Amino acid sequence: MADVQAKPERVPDSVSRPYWDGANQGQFRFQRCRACDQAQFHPRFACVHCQGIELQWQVAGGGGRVASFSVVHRAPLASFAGDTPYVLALVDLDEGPRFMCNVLNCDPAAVRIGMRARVCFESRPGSAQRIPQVEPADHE
Amino acid sequence: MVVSARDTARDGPKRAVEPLGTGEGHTHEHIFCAPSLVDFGCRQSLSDALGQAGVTHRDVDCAHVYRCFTSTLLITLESMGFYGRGEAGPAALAGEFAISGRFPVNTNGGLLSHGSSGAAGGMFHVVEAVRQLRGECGPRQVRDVQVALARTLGGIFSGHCFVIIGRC
Repeated sequence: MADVQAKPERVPDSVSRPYWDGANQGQFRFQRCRACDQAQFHPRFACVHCQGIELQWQVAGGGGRVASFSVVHRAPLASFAGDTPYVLALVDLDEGPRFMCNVLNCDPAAVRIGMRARVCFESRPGSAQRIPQVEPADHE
Repeated sequence: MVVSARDTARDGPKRAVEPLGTGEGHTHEHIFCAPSLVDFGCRQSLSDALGQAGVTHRDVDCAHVYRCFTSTLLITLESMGFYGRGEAGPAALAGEFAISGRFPVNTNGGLLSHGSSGAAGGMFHVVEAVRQLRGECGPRQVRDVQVALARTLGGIFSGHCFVIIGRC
């Protein structure tokens, strides 16, 4: 077996750091604007809806739904080659924000648009950063 | 694109063509931030370009449309309003995009066949649009092109730019 190369490492900045720290604590954190009450993801300096800069961090409940997905058979990087076929999905959290992630612990052929999913956190070899992903909501 | 004053049109050795309208529309950077997964900034920005040019969808004689992937062409032709939802695929199969078809598209083969220069890929479409208008395309010449469309796309359906070109 070839050596498994490390996957790209996240570089948190002052805006995204609460998100990445939250992931390490098993929390999916997202921003909600105090002025217009809209939620957003990915973390930004300002609200994308009203440009307000009073943003509050909230923790998602973890429930969501697959909005779209594709099954990757040909990895873009050598470090992902061992994972193929794997699922790349857009997931809508119940609180509103949409994010991109993998659907883990699931046969790729079983993924469906509209499928209920639950946020989970993936640990990767050689990295201290846990990565927010999803798995099927009924996975035990 | 390098353009010159309209009154220099007579001075060039080739048939003069001119930009009639332009449009740009960008709704997001990352695909998970897109307001829709089927309608993109191209709908409004093409509408702006057509309005500026004073032409309608039906007046476009040939379209040169950024196609990084096969599905991109079909999705964007529908989002641009040339076809209704789900209609572009059957139109392709029916031969509508052929050089002699109802709506010639990417007569040079498009990025997948002609080649892609990466970020400058859209410029191949501008070149082909101008050549069609000038009648220089030989075996791939569309009959009587008066209005041609060139369109480029950036990111994941993120950035959209149009130029509508016509004969002077």
